[in-house]
Amino acid sequence: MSQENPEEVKVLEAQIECLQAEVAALQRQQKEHHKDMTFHFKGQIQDALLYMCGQRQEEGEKVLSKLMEEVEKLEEDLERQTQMNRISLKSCTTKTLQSSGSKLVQQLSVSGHCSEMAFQVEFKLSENKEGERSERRITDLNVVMDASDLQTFSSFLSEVEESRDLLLFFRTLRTFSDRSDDRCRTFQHFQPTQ
Amino acid sequence: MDGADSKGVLNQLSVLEVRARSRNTQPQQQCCVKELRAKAEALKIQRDQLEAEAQIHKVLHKLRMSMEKQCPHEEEEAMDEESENTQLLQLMARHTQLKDLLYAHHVIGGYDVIKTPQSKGVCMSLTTAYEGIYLDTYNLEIDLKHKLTITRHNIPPFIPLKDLAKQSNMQTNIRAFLDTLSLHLNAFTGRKQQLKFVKEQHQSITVMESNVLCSRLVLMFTVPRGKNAVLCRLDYTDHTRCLPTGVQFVCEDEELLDSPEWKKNCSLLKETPVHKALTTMKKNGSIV
Repeated sequence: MSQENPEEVKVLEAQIECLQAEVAALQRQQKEHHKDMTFHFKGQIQDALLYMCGQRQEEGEKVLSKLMEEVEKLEEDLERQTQMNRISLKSCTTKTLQSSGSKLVQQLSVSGHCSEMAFQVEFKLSENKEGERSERRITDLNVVMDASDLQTFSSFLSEVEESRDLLLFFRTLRTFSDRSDDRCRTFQHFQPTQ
Repeated sequence: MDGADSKGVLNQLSVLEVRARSRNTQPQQQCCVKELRAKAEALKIQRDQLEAEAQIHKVLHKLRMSMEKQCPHEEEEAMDEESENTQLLQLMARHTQLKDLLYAHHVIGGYDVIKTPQSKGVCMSLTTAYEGIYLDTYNLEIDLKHKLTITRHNIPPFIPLKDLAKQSNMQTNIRAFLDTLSLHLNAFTGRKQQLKFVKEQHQSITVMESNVLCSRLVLMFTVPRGKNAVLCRLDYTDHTRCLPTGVQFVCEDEELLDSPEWKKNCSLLKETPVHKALTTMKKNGSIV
């Protein structure tokens, strides 16, 4: 007994060192992964993740149905926002560039369309916390539009990019599309019906 | 006392010491082994969980990429046979995508519409920003019963909410009303922010007068030569804009104001946000 123990201890210690290194490497990798995608692991999606890692005792069906419920609620919410904002978003990718205690910088790329006009906007969003106040700021705004009347927009787009007025871009897009739609409807109204 | 005796005693003592030491380390070693085994087990579990998570992240990432490219069928073939897990993963990927899209709606200045409990009405948020900085957010609660009524809000009293609701036909076109309101609020916070910049960046210029709506601003400039003072009045009569509609100068030296330099300054102030115009005017040597 007393002869095996020091051997076993050595083996175990070596094993532990190895495992600690593996865990540290995996944790670094996890941090990198979290930068590439915003994984909001709260609520049902967290349960699903834990289930898949074999950590939950629940039945797969139950986990699935609960997650399904939450996803349906989110779909409804998205539909509501789309209707009210009159902007249909196709994709949004976020990448965390910097994340410290008081500062968070993300690179966002959003694409979608408003009526017939397709757009893609890319920008950096930084959030600075100073005491109780927190300031959000947009920098490096880049706007690309795929519209037939691009000439109308080109000077507006460069102005918007220079002033970093992301919100103005979307307000204008909405107004412009409303007016286009109105013109379209008015035009169709006066078309001879044959 | 006796040499041989003391040696004997010393020997005995050292034998006892060795035995005592070995007795101490033996049980210690056993505890040690147990603890080490437990530690190794815990680390194994942690590593396996992290590996599983990393795998899932990889799959979710792939799913997201294919969802965004709108070619879902490509990735489905590479998926695992286990249909339940596949379904779960696809749902998880959709969940993260929806969250991101909702975040995007919020960031680009969407109205963040929320239904109030019992579906009595909706809550809306109006975000404002100027030159890339997000400023105040205003909220309204609208009752949807028979007639659309604004039940609660935190919009400042100098913004004519009721008038805007009437003018833009809130009853029949709530979106037009929101768009107009947003326009007014953004212009207001824009003007307010410009005033803040003037106070911060141009301490040599005195702000003589300003009003809560930031639609009227009176500044006092000092001209370098002759130390004349010029009073400048900016009127923002169009409350949906951040630029003044009227610029007036008052100075004892009327010839100064007739000069081409000051005629230029007048147009500058009409076309450029005030804090930036002042910087240019200082550079040109018009004012101190």
